[in-house]
Parts: sequence; C-alpha cells; structure tokens
Amino acid sequence: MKFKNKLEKLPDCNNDEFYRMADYIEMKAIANADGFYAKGDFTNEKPKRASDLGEGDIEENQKIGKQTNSKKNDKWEKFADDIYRNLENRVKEYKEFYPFTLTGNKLGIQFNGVNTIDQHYYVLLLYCSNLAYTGYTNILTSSFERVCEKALKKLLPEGSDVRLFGSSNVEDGLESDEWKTTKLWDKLVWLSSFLHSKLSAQESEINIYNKGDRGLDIVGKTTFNDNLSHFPIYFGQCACSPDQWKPKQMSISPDVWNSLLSLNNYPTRMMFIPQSFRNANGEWQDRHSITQSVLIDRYRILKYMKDDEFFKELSSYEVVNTLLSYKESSF
Amino acid sequence: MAEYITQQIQMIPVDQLVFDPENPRLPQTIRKDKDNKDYESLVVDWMLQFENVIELMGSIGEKGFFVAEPLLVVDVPTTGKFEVVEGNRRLTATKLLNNPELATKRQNALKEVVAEAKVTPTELPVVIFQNRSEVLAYLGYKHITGVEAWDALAKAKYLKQLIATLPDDTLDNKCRTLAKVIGSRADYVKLLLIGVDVYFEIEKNDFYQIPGLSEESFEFGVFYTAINRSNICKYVGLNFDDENPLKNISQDHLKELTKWIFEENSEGYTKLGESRNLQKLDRVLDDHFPKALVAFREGRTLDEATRLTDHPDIIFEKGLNDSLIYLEQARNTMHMVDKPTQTQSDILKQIFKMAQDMFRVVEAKKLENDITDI
Repeated sequence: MKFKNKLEKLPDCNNDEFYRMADYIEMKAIANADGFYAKGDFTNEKPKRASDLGEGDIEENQKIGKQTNSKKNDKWEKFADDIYRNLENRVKEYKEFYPFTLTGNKLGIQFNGVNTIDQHYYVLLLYCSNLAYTGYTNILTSSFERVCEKALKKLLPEGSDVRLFGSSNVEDGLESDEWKTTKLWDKLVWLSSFLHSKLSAQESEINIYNKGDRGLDIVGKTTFNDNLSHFPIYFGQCACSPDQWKPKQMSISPDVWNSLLSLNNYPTRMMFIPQSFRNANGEWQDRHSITQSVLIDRYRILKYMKDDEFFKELSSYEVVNTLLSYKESSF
Repeated sequence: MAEYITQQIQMIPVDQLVFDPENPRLPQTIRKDKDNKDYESLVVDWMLQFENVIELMGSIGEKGFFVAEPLLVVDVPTTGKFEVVEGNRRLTATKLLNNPELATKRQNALKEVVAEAKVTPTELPVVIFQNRSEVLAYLGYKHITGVEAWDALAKAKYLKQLIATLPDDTLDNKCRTLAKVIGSRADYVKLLLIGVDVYFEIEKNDFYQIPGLSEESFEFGVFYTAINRSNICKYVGLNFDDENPLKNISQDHLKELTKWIFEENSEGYTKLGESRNLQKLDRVLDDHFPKALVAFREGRTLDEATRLTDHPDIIFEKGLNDSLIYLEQARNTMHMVDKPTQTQSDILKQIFKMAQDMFRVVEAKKLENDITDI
C-alpha cells in the first residue's frame, strides 16, 4: 500500500504555517524505514520549494537587496528551525498522546510507534489533517465527524443530546445511510423539532432535490428534562481541509440559519478541525482567523477522547494501520 | 586560489582516507573526540543521521564513484594517511558501503541500501594538496553558493578560517574578496563573520548556562537574522561599520538577547517563540518606546510589550490596506460570476458589518482624542 500522493511534495501552505510543515515531518518520520527524520533531511527538500522562499522581510531587503542563493539557503534553514520549534512544543503539549520524540539535540524526530489508544487518535487526526496525501478522503472525513460527535458528547454535561446532521458520512451501519437520501426540507423539519424551534422557511422555497445539510455537521442541545424550549444549543462543523474551515465558520452562523429556522437563542458555534492549530509557544497559530466560534483542534479533541476505545468501531481503524505500515524507499 | 584542476587525480584505498578534523560542518561535541579511537564511528553516525548520506550511498552503490569529482585531500606524513578536506559525505557513504558495521544509526535504511548496492568502491579518486588552506577557497564556492549548501553556522566558521588566510586589509575589503571567492555578496559575508564572532562570545560564556543550548541546538540562522535588525543590533552594541564591530558589545545585553531567543521558561516556551517574532522584538528594543522594554523585562510577553510600541498602528493600517487590495481584486472579478452563492452573499454581509463596526470605533476614538487635546 502506498500513499495516494507520495510524501515527496511539500504541503501547499504559507511560509509561516509551521504547524502544517510539522505534520508533514511527522508523516515523513512514520514512513521512514527507521522512523527517523532529521532537520537536514528537510532542508534537503528545498529545491522543491526554493522559489517560495528567500524574499525576506522589508528591512532585510532594503539592507541587502536581492537575496543571494546562500541567503536563501539560510532562510530555508531558519524555516526548518521554526518547524522543529513547533514539534518541540508538541512534545511538551501532547505528552503521552505524542508518538514521537526529538533526538540528537533536537536535530531529528523519532517515531516510536503507536502504542496506546491515545496515540492512535493522534495519528488518525494527523492523517485527517493531510487527506491529500492519503487517498482515503471519504473514510477519514467520516471517521473524523464521528470522533467529533463523540468528543462533543463528552464535552457537554450529562443529559445533552448530540447528533450527526451532516449528509455525507460513509461510516458503516449508521442511521445516516438513510439520512443521506433524506431531503433537506425533511431534515429541517426534524431539526426544528429537535431544537423546539419554528421553521421560518417554506417547503416551496427549498429545492426538492436538495439532500444536503447546509453546512451543519453536528447539532447538540443541553436540555433540562422539562421538555421546554430555550435551552443551550450547539452547531458544529467538521472541516479536515486546513484551508476551508476559516470561511466555513460562516455556514453555521445564526444569521444564516435564522432564515430557515427561528432559533430561540443563539447556538454556540463549534468548529472541529484535526489540525494542531498552534504555534511554537502553544498559542493559536492565528487567533484572528477564529471568528465567533469555539475552535476544537487536535489537542482539544484528544483530551476528550482519552482512553476511549471508540476508534476500533470506525472504518478508518484499518486505514490508519495501513497508512502506518507504509514505508518509503530510501531512494 | 588552489590550482587543483591541473593536478593529477590518484586512486587511494578507502581505509587510508580519514575525516577532516576541522570540518566546520561537524559540531564541536564530535570534533573534540578527534583523537578517540571511535572517532570514525562517531562521525559516521552523525553524518548518517543529519547529512543525507543514505541517498548518496544509493547513488554511489548504483553507478560507482564519479572519477571526475575527486576528493580533495591533504597528505599527513606522520600518520601515513590522507585527511579529506572536501568530500566527507562521499567518504562516509563509501566507508559505509564497505563496512556498514561502522554505524549504529539508521540501521534499516542502511541495510536496504547496502543490499541493493551494485558497486562498492574500495579506492577513491583524490587530488592531493600540501596543506588545508589550498583547498579552502574551493570549499566556499561549493558549500556556500553551490548546491551542497552547509548550514549557516558551518558556513560562518568556514569563512572565519578563510579570512585568516587573507593579507592584511580593511574588513570591508576582505569581505569583498571573500565574496568574490565564494560567489556571494560582501554584506552577507560580513554578516556571517560578525554573527560567528558574536556566537563565539556566547560559546565562550558557556551559552550562559541556558539548559539544552549547545552548538548543535543553537539556531545560528535565527540569531544572525536577529542581530541584522537595526534596533537589536544597536541594543547589543554592534557596529557593522567599525573595523572591530564587537568593540562596544554589551555583554549584559547579549546575554539578555540570547536568553530571550533560546531560554525556555518553566512551561517550556522561549520569550521569542517563532523567528517571525524578531520583527516584534526589534520594535520592543526601539529606544523610542522605553516602556515596551521595561514591560518586556518585567515579564510581559512579547505581544504585550509590542502593544506599547507603534507596531499595532503599523499592523492595523497594513491590514486595512491589504483588505482593500483583496476587495478590489474581488470587485474586478465580480462581473465574471454568473451565479453568486448564498455563502458569497453572507461573506459580503460580514465584511460590511465588520467595516461598519470598525469605522464607528475609529471615529469614536478620534473624537475622544480630539476632546482630550482640547
């Protein structure tokens, strides 16, 4: 078994998105015959990406003008230093969840195998964050939604009710098999009942062929066992693509949903992403891109899935093992 | 410059070739053991882990050693062996093809490459020089400007070795000469040379006892970028225009800077964080904003201290200008969108609302400031 796209191509991301490069390095270490990947291996990748680097900042350019090759190489090295700082932070933050260690004075990363439940979740989320490399997009995104559903259940107090609303889940044996072919209008009717809200849209306004979910993947509520309306509600969205979750936050905005349902109160917007959206200091990579949502990233999901054997029920269980067994040739 | 091109290539058995004890690529932790009987294994393990030797073994094992690219060696009559000044990676690869037991690292990859090797050279083409300095100039072209780039600290150390061979002249002229020799720029050469001198100061002070900081973990690229920034440079007391740029260096400030970049707090975080934050640190050290430095020294984070400078104003205005540019791009493409979606409409609504809110806040603040001025 091989990755759909071999791990030769670096992630297509901005030069300051070290967290995405850190993922790439982790996957390279997993796929290495010795489970090892050095900073030097990474800087050796530069010919594949050299044109992206080396423009430098304004002050440097004013000082020395056009970049020389050697300066570009140094920039690449600095880039690698930042990525390894991010990895170093992961060692500290993720602790027992993290299946890697830094070795050789932080010049290399060593994959130590997946030895615990927690570490299985870690690699599952790692692969979910990098779907383009895996070739298992449908299975991994579906498993991710189910993990998020489970994590939200654990996050909310007892008596809460959490459901998958998304229509694209391919997990076996789910109620969603039928749900997938349910018309959007019927889904909205169910949702209005679930949330004790009134429909503001008319059936005639919804295309009869529309079987989508309007971007809502998970819906939750915390009731008070009194069967009354006006209780906390949660709208969740799961986004594996690192580029898409930021604009997707809009699709679970109350402004969008109020044109369909008269919500009694504002839902808490939960955005689930499998990425570790953190910088080397453990802060958000870019907190300004989180707009009016509760961002549940890799770290937060893992905390709620601790010691939960749920992953064995997922169809991605074997996929993850297959991906783990893939080893790149040295040539 | 060495005229090695006209010299004769000779074939020498691999076991008569030894690693360069002054190889600037190797960390001091390895080089200090050059007289140790296990030195060869230490070098091999280090190269194998951190210098991409496996791929090179594959290439040599497949096609043999390219005779037209000889190793550049120095004869050491006292030992009867030859020190390889240029070609230590290739020497490592060839030694490992002959004797994989030399290594203890990367065993699986090593087994694979040795098993698949079709050729195992037992002797290598070399050009013999009388002394090391004859080879140095060529090294620069290949490892600083060329394809086999060394890391920044190795390059800087090499330049330090090379500048010692030049006749007496001004620093700027020496840098120009070196730049020509290695095919680079004089200002870059000067930056590396000053950077490595400052690094030696830090090394001399035992890295200020910062836990985990050593030659190998010292991110020299980040460090020299830092001292190249005007306020940081001034703060440390460096003068790039002086013949002795470190003449007025402030040891206290250098120690402080090194700690900000490399020392981790109890939670494992450095004050600097990622290298992109050097821009903020430079603002904090701008002497127009003394309160920012005081706050930073008193334990405020870099972000908090930066708020006491003009950095937020710059970022705010840049953000607005960038947004305007992107919006104009979108507007100029709008006529080609035949079926606008609900999402696009929602995004526009959000932009409008956000701009309206920001405009109100800006106007209110302006009014508040006008009243205060009165």
